[in-house]
Amino acid sequence: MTSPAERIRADSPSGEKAAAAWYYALLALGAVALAFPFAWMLGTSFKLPETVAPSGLHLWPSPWTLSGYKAAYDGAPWLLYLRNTVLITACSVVGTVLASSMAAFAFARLRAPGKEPLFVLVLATLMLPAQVTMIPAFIIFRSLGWYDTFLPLIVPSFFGSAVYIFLIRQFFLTLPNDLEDAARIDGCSTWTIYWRILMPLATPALVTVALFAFVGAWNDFMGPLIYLNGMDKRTLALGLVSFQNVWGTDIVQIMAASTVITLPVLIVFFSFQRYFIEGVVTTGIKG
Amino acid sequence: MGFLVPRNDNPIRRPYPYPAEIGDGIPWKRSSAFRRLCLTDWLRLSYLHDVKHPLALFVLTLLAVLAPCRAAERVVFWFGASHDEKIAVDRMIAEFNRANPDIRVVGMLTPMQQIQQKLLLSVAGGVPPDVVRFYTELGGEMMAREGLERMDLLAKRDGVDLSAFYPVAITQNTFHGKLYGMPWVVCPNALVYNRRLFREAGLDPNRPPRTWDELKQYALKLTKRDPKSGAITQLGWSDVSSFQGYLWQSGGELLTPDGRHPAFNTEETVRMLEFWVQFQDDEAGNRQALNAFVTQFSGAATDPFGMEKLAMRLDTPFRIPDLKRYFPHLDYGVAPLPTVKYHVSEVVGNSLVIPRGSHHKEAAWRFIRFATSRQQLLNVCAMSGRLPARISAARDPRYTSDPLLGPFVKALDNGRTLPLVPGYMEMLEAIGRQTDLILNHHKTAREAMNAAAVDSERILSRSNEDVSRFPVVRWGRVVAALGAILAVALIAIGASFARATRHSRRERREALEFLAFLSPWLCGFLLLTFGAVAGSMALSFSKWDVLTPGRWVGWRNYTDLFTNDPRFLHSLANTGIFTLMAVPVSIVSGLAVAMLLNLKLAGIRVFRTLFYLPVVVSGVATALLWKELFNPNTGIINKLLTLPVLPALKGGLHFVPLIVNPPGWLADPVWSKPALVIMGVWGVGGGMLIYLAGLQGIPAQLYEAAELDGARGWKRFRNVTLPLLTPVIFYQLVMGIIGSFQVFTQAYVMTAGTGQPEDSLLFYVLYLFNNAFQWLKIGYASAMAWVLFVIVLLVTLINFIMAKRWVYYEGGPK
Repeated sequence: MTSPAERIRADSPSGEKAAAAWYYALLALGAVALAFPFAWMLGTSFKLPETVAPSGLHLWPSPWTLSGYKAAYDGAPWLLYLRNTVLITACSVVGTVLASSMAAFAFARLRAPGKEPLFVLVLATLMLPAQVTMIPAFIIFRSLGWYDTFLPLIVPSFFGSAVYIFLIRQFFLTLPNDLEDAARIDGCSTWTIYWRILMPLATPALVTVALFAFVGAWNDFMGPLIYLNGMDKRTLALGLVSFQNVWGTDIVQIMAASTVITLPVLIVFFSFQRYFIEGVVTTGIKG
Repeated sequence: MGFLVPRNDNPIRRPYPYPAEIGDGIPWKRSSAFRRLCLTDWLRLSYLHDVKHPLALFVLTLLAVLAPCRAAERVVFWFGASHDEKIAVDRMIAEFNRANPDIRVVGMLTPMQQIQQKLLLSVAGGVPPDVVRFYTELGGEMMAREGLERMDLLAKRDGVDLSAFYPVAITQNTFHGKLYGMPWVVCPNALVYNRRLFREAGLDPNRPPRTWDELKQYALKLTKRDPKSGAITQLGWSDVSSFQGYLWQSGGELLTPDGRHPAFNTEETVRMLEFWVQFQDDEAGNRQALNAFVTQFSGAATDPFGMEKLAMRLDTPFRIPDLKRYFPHLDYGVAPLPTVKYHVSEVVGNSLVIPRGSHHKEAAWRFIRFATSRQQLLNVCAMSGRLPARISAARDPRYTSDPLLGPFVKALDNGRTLPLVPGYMEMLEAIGRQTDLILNHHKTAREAMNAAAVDSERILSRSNEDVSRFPVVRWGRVVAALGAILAVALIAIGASFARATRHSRRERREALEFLAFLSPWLCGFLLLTFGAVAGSMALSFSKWDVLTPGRWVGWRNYTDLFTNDPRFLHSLANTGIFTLMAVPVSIVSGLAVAMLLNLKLAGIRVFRTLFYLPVVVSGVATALLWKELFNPNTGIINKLLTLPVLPALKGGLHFVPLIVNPPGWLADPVWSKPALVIMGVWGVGGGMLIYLAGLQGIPAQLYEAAELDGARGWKRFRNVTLPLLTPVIFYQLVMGIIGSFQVFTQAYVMTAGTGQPEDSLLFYVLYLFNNAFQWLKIGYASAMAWVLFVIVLLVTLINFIMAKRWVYYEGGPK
C-alpha cells in the first residue's frame, strides 16, 4: 500500500521538496510547543529547589542535582507500587479491549429488536458524573467483599467501557460489509466473523483503545484512593499524589516523581508504537 | 532500637524512612498467622534498615514464626503529613506498638485534600478507619454532624483531664457541648518580620508594629518599587484578606451566639474592610499589583519572606522550620499580631478522631491518649513545627525560651477558632468570594457584606433546619424496590424481545447472538451500573450527609437548584461556555495534527511520539505543571509572549515585545477558561491518535479513484478524506461534549477546588463535588447530577439526529 503522501511525491517531484520542508517546519513547531512542558518537567526535576523560579526560561538545570530524585526514591516503595500498577493496568487493558469490542460488534453488525434504545442506554451511562455514582458503587463493591482488593479496579473493565464501545463501533461501521457477507456465504460463524475478520481489520482502533485504557488505568488515582486501604496495595499514581501531599509545594521533588512514573508509559509507547500505528499499514485494509 | 532514628543528620534533607507503611508491602508478611505476630514491627524495621543478608533475614523470619503468638488488634490510622512530620509520626506509631504488644497501629499516609472524601465513602460503606487526623478547617462539618465517637465520654470515664488542653483547641472540637476529637497540635497566628529590612528602612527592629495603623505606616515604609517600571520589588505586608481574624480583632462576630444566623454584617465590619482595601491600595496600588508580586513566588525554597522580598507577614509556626532550612542566615523576629481593638490570634488545629463504626474503639482510644501525651506531642511537634495542644507541652522551655516560637505559644492564650456549625465551610467560602470582590473594587464593602449575609443566611438555614418533619430513608426498602423494578423491567424486555422475534428463527438466533456479544456489558450494567445509577436517583430525592440517617425531601433538591442557588446556574453557564470553546478547538486541532502526522515523511514516527507525549502525563501532574507555566509573572508562557521580537526604531534599533501586558491567565476571570482550553490543546495527542487510526482505515483505492477523477489537495480532503472520517469526527464530537460537560480534574487541581477567580472556573461537576464531599450535601449533589444527565442526554440525542445528515458509514448501520 502506498500512502497519499507518497503519491504526491511520485506525481510532482518538483513541488514535493518544498511541501516536505513546510511540513517539517510545521511538525517541528508543533513538536517543540507540545514537548516544551514535558522538557520543563524533566529539566525542573534535576534542578535545586532554589533555582526553579529565578531560572525562568532556562530549561537546563544549573547546577545539576539528583536531590529531587533522591527524595522521590526515598519517599515511597515505588517498585512495589509499580508491580501493583502493572498488574491492574494489564488486566484492565485486556478486559477493556475484549469486552468493549464484543459489545461494539453487536451494535455495529448484529440485528436485534431494541438495539437503538440499548445503545442510547450504553451512552447514557457516561452522562452521569462519576462523582455521584461513587457512593452507591462503593457500597456495592463493599457488599461484594471487594473493598481493599484490586477487584473494583479490574473487574469493571471486563464489563466494557461505553467510551470504547462507541469508539470501536464507529470503526466497525466504517468497514465495508463485503468481506463479512462473503464469510457468511462460506458458512463462518458469527464469532469467526468477529474474531477473524473484523478484529484484525479494526487493529488501529483496537490499538488506540488499548493505549487509552493503558494510560487511563496507569494514571487513575481516584479509584485506588477510595478502594484500596493497605499501603502495600497502592499504585504509582496514588503514590504520586501522596508524595505531592508530603512535599507540598516543593516542585522539584514532585516533578522528579512525576517523571519517574511517566517514564514507563513512554517506554511502552516508544517500544510498541511501531505496532500501535505502523502495524496497520502491513495489515493492510484494502476494503 | 537505634535504627528507628534517622542516622543521617544532614539538616537539609533527612532520609525518608517509611517504617509504618511499608510493613504491609512485604509479600511474605501476607499470611494471617504472620500478621498477628507481636514481633512484626521489629522484624519489619530490621528488614528495611539493618538486615541486608538474606540468610539473616531467613533466620529472623524463622524466629518470628516460632515465637509465641498473640492476637494484636489492628488499628488503622489515616493521616496526612509533611515529610518531616511523617518521620515523627511513624516513629510515634512504632513506639506505641512496642509499648502495646496487643495492639498494632498501622499508619496510612492519606492525601490530605482527599481525606474527607475517602472517609465519607468508607463510613458509607461501613469500613471506616479507627483513627483519623482531622483538620478543623476540613473536618468540622463532620464533627457538626455527630458522625464521630464522643471523646468527652471516654475522657470522663478514664479520668483524662481535658482542661490540660488549650481551651481554643477544645472549642475547635466541640459541637453542642460534646467533644468529637482529641486536640493534638495547633497553629496560631503571629506577626513575622524581617529585622534587617526594618533597620534598612530606619525602623526599630526591636519594636515591631502593635496596631493596624502602625502596621500600615511600617508597611508603606518597607515597600519599594522599581523606579523605571514602577513594579513592586519589596513588599511590606501581603495579608490583607484574612477576614475572620480581622473581624475578631475589631470586635466583630461571625455568627449569633446560637450559631444559626450570620452576625458579621455590621458597620464595624464594613469599616474594617474599608481599612484593608485602603491599606492594599496605598501599599501596592491595587489588587492586581499585589497579586502580581505575590504569585512570583512558589514553594518553600523561594519563599518571599525568606528571600527578603516581603518584610512582614501573618504567619504560623509551621513555616519556621522551612525558613530555618532554606534561609539559615535570615534575621527575623516574631511578635503578637498588630490589632485594632482586641488581641486575637486565629488558631487552626489538628485533632485525632474515631469515626463512628470503628471496630477497635478502645484500642484507638488508647493510641489517641498515647499520641496526646506530653512526651509524644513534644516529639512530633519538634519535627512538624506545629505546637502541642496540651498546655504543659506547649509551655516547655524549648518553646517558651525560643525567641521565634515563644511569641506563637503566647498567642495561643488569645486564640480563637472558627465556630463549629453545619454549613460553616460553605459560608466561609461565600464570604471569601465577597471579600475578593471588595479587594478588586468590583463591589463596595457594604454591598459585598450585604450579599455575604444573604448567602450565609440561606446556607445556614438549610443546614440547620429541623429535618424531623421529613420521613427517614430506609435503604433496605429502597434496595428492595429497585430490585423489583429491575426484575419487572427485565421480564417485560425479555417478553417483548421474544415477541418481536417470534416470526423468524434466524431473527431470533441473531438477536440471541446480539445478547451474547453484549453479555459482558449487560452483566456489568445489572451488577454495578444499574445499582449505582438508581441509587443516585433515589439519593436525589433525599437529604443525606452519610453520617446521619437520610430523609426524604421529595422534589425540594430540584426546586432549590433552580430557585434558591445562584451559583448552580452560574456553574452551568460556565460549563456551557467552556464546552463551546473547548470542543471545536479540540476537534479541529486533533484532525489537523493527525493529517500532518499521517504524511509519509522520514522520521514521522518520532513526531508521532512527541505529539503523543503529553497524553501519557497524568492529569494531576499536567495540572500542576500548567499552573506553573501559566504563572503571570514567572510562567514561561508570559515570558515567551513578552519576549522582545518586534523591531522598533525609536531611539535606535531595538526590539520590543509583541504583547506588553500579557493575560493573567488563571488569575484573571476572563482568561481562566481560555487557559484551560489551551491546556486541553496540549493533550491533542489523544484525539490525534483516534483520527490517525481513522485515516489509516481509509481504503487506498478510494484515493486512487479520486486521483483518476483529478481530485487533489483540498478537493481530495474535502471529498474523500473528510466524508470517510465523519464517523470518527462524530465520535469525537459526542464524546467531547459529554466529557467537557463533566470537566473537573483540571479545575479541581488548579484552583484547589474553589473554582476561583470570581467563580470563573466553577464548573458544574466541581460545584457538584464540593456540595457532595465538602459540604456533605449528597442528595443535593445527586439532584445536580440528574439535571446534568438530562441536559447531556438531550444534547447527545440532538447530535445523533443531526448525524443522519452528515455522518457517512461505509458499511452502513444495519
